[in-house]
Amino acid sequence: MACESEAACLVPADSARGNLTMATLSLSGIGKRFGGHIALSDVSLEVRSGEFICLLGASGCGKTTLLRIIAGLEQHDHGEILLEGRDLSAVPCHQRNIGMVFQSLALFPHLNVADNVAYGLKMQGVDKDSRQRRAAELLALVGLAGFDTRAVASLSGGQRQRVAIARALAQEPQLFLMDEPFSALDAGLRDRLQQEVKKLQQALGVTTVFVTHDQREAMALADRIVVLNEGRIEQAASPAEIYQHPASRYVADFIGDNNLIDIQVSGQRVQIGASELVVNDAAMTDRQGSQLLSVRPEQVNVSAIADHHDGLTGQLIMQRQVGALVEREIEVNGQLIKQTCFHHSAGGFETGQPVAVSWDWSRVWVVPA
Amino acid sequence: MGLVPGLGGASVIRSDRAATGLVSLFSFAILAVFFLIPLAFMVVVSFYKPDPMGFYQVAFSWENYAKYFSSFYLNVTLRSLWSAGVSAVLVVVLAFFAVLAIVDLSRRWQLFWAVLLLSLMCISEVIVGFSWLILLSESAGIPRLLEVLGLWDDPRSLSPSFGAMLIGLVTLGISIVMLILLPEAANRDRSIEEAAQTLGTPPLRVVFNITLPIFAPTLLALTLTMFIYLIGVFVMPTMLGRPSDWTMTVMISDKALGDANLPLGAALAVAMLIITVVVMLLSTMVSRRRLL
Amino acid sequence: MNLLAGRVVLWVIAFGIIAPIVIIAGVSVGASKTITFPPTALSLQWYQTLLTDPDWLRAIVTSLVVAVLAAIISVLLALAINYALWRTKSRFSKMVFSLGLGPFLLPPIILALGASLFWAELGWYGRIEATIVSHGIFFVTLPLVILSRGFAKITDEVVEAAQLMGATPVKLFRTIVLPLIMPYLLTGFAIVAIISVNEYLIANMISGFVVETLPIKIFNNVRYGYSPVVAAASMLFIGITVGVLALVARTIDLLALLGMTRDR
Repeated sequence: MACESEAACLVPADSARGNLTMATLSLSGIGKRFGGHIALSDVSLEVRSGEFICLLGASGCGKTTLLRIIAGLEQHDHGEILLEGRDLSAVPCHQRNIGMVFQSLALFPHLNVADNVAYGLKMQGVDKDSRQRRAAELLALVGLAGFDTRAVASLSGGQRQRVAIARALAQEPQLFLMDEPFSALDAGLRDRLQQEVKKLQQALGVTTVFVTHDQREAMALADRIVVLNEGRIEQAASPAEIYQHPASRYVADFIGDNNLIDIQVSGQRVQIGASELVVNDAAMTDRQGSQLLSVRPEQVNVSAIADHHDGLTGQLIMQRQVGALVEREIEVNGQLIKQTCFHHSAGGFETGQPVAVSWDWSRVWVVPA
Repeated sequence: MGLVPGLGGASVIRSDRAATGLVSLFSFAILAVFFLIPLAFMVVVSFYKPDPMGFYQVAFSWENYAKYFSSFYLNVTLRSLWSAGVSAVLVVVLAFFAVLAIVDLSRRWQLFWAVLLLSLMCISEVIVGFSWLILLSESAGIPRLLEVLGLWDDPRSLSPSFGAMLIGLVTLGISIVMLILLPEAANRDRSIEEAAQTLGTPPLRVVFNITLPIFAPTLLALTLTMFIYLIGVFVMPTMLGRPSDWTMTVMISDKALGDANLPLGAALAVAMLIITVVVMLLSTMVSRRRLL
Repeated sequence: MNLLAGRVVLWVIAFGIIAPIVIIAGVSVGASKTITFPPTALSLQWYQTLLTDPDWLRAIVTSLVVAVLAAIISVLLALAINYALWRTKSRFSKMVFSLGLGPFLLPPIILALGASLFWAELGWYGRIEATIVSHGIFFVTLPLVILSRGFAKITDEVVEAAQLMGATPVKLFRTIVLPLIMPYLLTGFAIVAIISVNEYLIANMISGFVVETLPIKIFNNVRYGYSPVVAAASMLFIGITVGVLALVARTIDLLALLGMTRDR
């Protein structure tokens, strides 16, 4: 993809912008084994053009393997990868036209900043003047104007990060891949770079796949989060959807703080441990039998026990104030229920005191089996 | 420890310091007597006069060095520098590519290579030389094999020759260099090469564009180290080389044992010591300043 | 990266290491009096000669005596230098450590000539003690480096904990330091013994005419018309070397000792 007008390079091409609905990257049935260990099994995913996808999961869930398969650094055992309709399976890594930022950054220690950024263009045979101009533009874009001739070793962590991003974007990749690029940075710098990357990605409109184990990071960046567990996709949805409507027990447990409660539904009666409640919520009692209820700590209400109380009761085991929030643990029918609420609306309860526990049935979520 | 911990502890520490100091001093004395003094004495002997009847006569003369600078010994020196230089470069280049391949093998094969290389490093140069002598001989080696295969009608021994000597030197050096390079290659940051691939570099160009430049300082330092090591090898030139390939090492040993001209041998050894020190200084400069 | 060039080089090197050994093995079990390969008839007569001929036996015994005693000297010296450096970290002990690296950095011929002149001047020329001491001193570098890796693993906290429980320096050495570095000590011992058993040049220059070690005997045999006994002797050697290494590999993670980390 040679660039006629240098200035136009940073603006996404019209064709890419026009087909927002068409999947740019299409994975179907990807499987990969390492010896006896199954790293990925039957992973299918459609990524729209310009979309920002986060692959999220604990270490060893296969997220990095999936990224490396997309990059062509690892060969998948079966399945199909299409990039804008082209089958990538037989295309070696160096012909895929992707930009990748590595966890270790992988800057070339023997080249200066500008030569690092311009390296991919040199491989494409772009002439020296254009290369240098383009490198300078990209460095300006990531806030490193004038750093061209500096040695990589002389840069700070955040600056190296920016060089790595500029290098990956220099050749206008069809796909932008990032493998936990910010995991080594301190929290403040990480937040700032996350914002910058998000802005940059939106400005360039480049389809992006970002691997992370940090759910906060995934929530902050992604248009869509793909939660992976033991080589399988548990759920692929927007951050809000993932949080409010987890599709499986794993996701409900893994994302955010949660109370997972086993319930038995028959008619309008819901049994929780020894307690039985009547629930007047059609959506809630839609699914009968044994179900898993997901109640976020901020959805839990704690109150004094009224005279004719027929809801859940429990004993306040622990409470502590963390800044503006109060965190509590209440033992209900032998299970610990976590609650968080703002300090000003917490109400005064003694530790050890019996309390009434309730929540709005129309807002809690029954996790699909 | 005494009843008063503070006092007892302090005195224990003090006597401990003194004891370890003595240990240090003692080991220094051993190294000085058996390593430094022999070297110094060799320098002294290089100024003595040879005694045709026995070892040497105590004297101070530049005669041995004057002899050294006669064209014959200078030629021998240049020849030694050449053969050591060529074989050092060969060793490092071969070892570099071989090691890159080894670290991509499975762990079991890596262990196989480690044991193979350690064995080769430990096996006497006499045996390595002897085995190449047989392998290159017309009665039992490669020439015989070629004859049996009908590829060579009139097989002749391939040694002694300059090439045979080089093969011997390379076999000696390669195990050491590979063992030094193995951990560096195994523990290198692979993602740098992967980054080059994602940026459109074909695999072979990755080695030359990225891996080689990153390893260049190490390889240069290793080449210089090998150079010093190979210039001092005695067995290969005598077993596999022609007399016209004989190096300074052979001459030194010859003067010391054959002609019984120890002072001249010592002068040759001093010349070699100076070359060694110069190369070592170069080597430290390379690793300090990262000339490349 | 499956680089064809690397693979090819690897096979060439493997050939260069293994082929000569195969040929020597073939010659050593051949019945012919001259060196031929492949052997026309098999026979173990050369091994028999090696283990019965008093000349060869004496060389084997001499080599083993030199190797074991030299290895003891070497390891003790390396231990002393490392212990002092570890305890005090003083500039002097660092200097002694670097001095101990010296012999490995110089061409052996220089060491050999220096030692030969030195022992001759002392009047010890031709004595086995001279060979033993020089081997012990000149090969100190490898155990020195190996032991320093062992000492690096003993943290200050362990020492301080032992001291708090009342260990004196001597007890500390016996109960903490020694057990922790024992594998490194043994590895160093094995390596010096192997190098010494195989070394030709220094042994020959110091007292080669009188103290004839196995490599000297092999070399002289090769130089002045050789018989297949030499091949049998070489095989014995290779057997001992590989055997000791395999033993070392069982007691200590060889790849880790070489600095190759486990995960990759």
